[in-house]
Amino acid sequence: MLDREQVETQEIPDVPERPLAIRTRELTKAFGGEIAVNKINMDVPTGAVFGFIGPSGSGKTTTVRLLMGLYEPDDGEISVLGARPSNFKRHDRERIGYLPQLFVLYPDLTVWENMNFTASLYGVSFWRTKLLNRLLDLVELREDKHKLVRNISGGMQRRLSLAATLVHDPDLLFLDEPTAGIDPILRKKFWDYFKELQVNGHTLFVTTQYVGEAAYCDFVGVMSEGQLLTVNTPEGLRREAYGGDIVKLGSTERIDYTLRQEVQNLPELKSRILNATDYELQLLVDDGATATPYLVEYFRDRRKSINSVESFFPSYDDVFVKLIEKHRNNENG
Amino acid sequence: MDRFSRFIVRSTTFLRKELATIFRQPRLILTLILGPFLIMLLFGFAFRAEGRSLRTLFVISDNSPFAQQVQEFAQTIGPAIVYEGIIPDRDQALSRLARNEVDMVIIVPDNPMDLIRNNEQATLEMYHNEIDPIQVDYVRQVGRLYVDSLNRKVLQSVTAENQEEAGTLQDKLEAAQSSATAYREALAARNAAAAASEKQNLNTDLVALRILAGASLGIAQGTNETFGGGTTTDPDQNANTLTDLDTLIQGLNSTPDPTTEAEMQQQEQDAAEIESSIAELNTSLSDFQNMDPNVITSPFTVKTESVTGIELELTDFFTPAVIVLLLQHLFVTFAAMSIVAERRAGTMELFKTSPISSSEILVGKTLSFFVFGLVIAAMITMLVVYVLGTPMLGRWENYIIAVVVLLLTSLAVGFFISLISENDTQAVQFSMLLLLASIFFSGFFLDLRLMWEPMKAFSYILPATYGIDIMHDVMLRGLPLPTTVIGGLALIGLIMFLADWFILRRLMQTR
Repeated sequence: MLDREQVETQEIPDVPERPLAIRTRELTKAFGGEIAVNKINMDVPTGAVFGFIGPSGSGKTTTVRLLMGLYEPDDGEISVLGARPSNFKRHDRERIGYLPQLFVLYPDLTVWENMNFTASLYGVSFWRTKLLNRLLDLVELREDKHKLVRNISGGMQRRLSLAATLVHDPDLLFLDEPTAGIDPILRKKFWDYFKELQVNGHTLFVTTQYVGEAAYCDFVGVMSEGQLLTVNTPEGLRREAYGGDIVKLGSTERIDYTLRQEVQNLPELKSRILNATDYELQLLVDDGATATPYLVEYFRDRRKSINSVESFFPSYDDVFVKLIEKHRNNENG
Repeated sequence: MDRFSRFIVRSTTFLRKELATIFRQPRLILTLILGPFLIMLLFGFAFRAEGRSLRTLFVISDNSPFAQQVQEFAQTIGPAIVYEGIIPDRDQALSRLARNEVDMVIIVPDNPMDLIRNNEQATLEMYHNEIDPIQVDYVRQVGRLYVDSLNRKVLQSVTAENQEEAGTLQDKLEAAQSSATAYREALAARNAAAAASEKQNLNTDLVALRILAGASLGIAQGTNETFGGGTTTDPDQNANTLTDLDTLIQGLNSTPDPTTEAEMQQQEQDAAEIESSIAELNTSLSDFQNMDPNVITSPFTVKTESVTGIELELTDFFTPAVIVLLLQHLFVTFAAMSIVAERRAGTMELFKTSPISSSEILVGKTLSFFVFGLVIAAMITMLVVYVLGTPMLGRWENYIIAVVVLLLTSLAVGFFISLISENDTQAVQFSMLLLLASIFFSGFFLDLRLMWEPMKAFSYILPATYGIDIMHDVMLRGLPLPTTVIGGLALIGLIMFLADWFILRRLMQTR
């Protein structure tokens, strides 16, 4: 668990100073003595895509529900768009969109009727046909708009839910696992649209179990067992997980033990071999950008022929596992 | 958009949603409209307002002289008793009753006339095999009817016999009349010896008349005394005819033969009065003879008419109550399932996170079910009035107001049930309990006036109680809206809506 200071001093490169859409301090919620969310500190700047990643039961949905004002926190502070969620006024709610984890629209209504229903809930004017058609185009449901929802697939229902969430053009979107159960192509399309929303000034708070989706986010919060382990940029997460950049080096000649030791002990690189075969090395270095040309030079000087030196990006699944392990190791001392 | 426009947009979202859901189920609509109509139609065909005919078996001993009379009487008493025969064995009769082969067994005592002569009432034992208190009551009534008819029959018979006997008194009356005239004329002629002789004759005739006419005159006198001017003769004179006759005989016996002129004159006047009394007696007996024995034994009959000026069939009476009960139950159930279903489906969460308020949800849902309720009510009403022929004596606008208030109050009660129910099952159970309570306590089939006074308070927390009262007044009596009753119904609705709003508001708040 990161403490307050650690989070507040998190280095977020290339992000200009913007007002916070979400701010939590020591946010805690327990159910029947079991802590679901434990002292979460989090700042989400306006206009960012914030990924909230963690396994099932890690406290993601509870956090979203606290941020939506569906739960009252047991302890800590929350501010969403400058207001306390449990005191949200109608105006605050009109600025927020919420996509719940489960489908909650009406199976006995058509796709179109469900869209209309949600639009009316948010007080969208009756002259909204164009808007609804555009949203249905986005989720590729326009052709199916006269179908009863009970007759469309689970993926289509998910897409409908997303379209319904966007119907009132909210400033801040809470999307609880929006891509769950959706095929990879449409998932990519969703994330493209999320990015488009971001470009248009919307703030997105997206929970997901797909760790790979962290790459689409500006910031990622990693949840485990009710605790927010870290908040970082996707790239920062990799570095945080492994302690530096990974460089992959391939050679046509055999890389013997002596050479491996030499490379590992280079004082300029402070590298560490993560993985090694006879013809390939994976090195953990402080900075991949400076290490790569240095390594090329080093091997040339020793007349060793190398055919590739490149930065290696481990999957976010690996990054996530590494972070959890690291956290557990820290806890166990 | 301004605030009001947004309120309209939010509230009407439920109207479109609920109506779309309902009208997508044509079978449901058909059931809701045609179902009650068909039930009322079948009820009208099936239910017969006439009393049930009881198959009756009589138990009389073999040697009883009444067997034939019982049979004749049972066959003529009317449709309530169907004569099933006479058997001597009591156990066999009761056994047939237990097997439901007959509905009633009447056991006639062996010696009823002996009992009556001994100044005792002869008791007919009646047995039945009913468990339904209403049917038990019906059997008792038929039993009472039978015994009353039997007693009347006996009285008619006795009266007829006496009337016949009165005819035979004519000679004695004429003899007494002649003796009285001869007596008066002897006294007028101051012929003491002849007067004494005629007095003796008169006394003999009067005593004989008194003995023979006792029974007939007794009935005639009783009739006159009871009913006053019910006969053609002067009641003041008729009432005391028999007593006067006794007084005359007594007076005649106690009067010494006249010795002076004054006594002669006095006794001549007395003789004239005796003449007059015998003439009156003659008139009384003639009147009695001419009277119908049935009028004497059953002098009164009854004719019942309603000031409403309309005769209602049983179906007509029940139809307004059925409409009320049906509308209440349907729309309590629709509303009861409504919010609880939103909670089950998770849409309440959607509402909580959206800008819609609890009042907008209530208004929206009320509006949607209300519109549907009006459609259902209109269809059912048209069918029962124009197809079943149920009378609609009042003004249509009053009927519409009653339906509107009933629907809104029922919806308010339904939402309350929905808000306090944990799940669908509980909501259905509460709705069914309300229906059950309404059947028993709203005056649907048991008149509220028969209810214990403190329990009436319970009746008046049920919308159906008010609804039935109003519909009976408007539809069947043609009266204007009873303002107190419609006000009471509206008040219940208002209180329930406020409670609904309060609970829903709490439900929408953060946990």
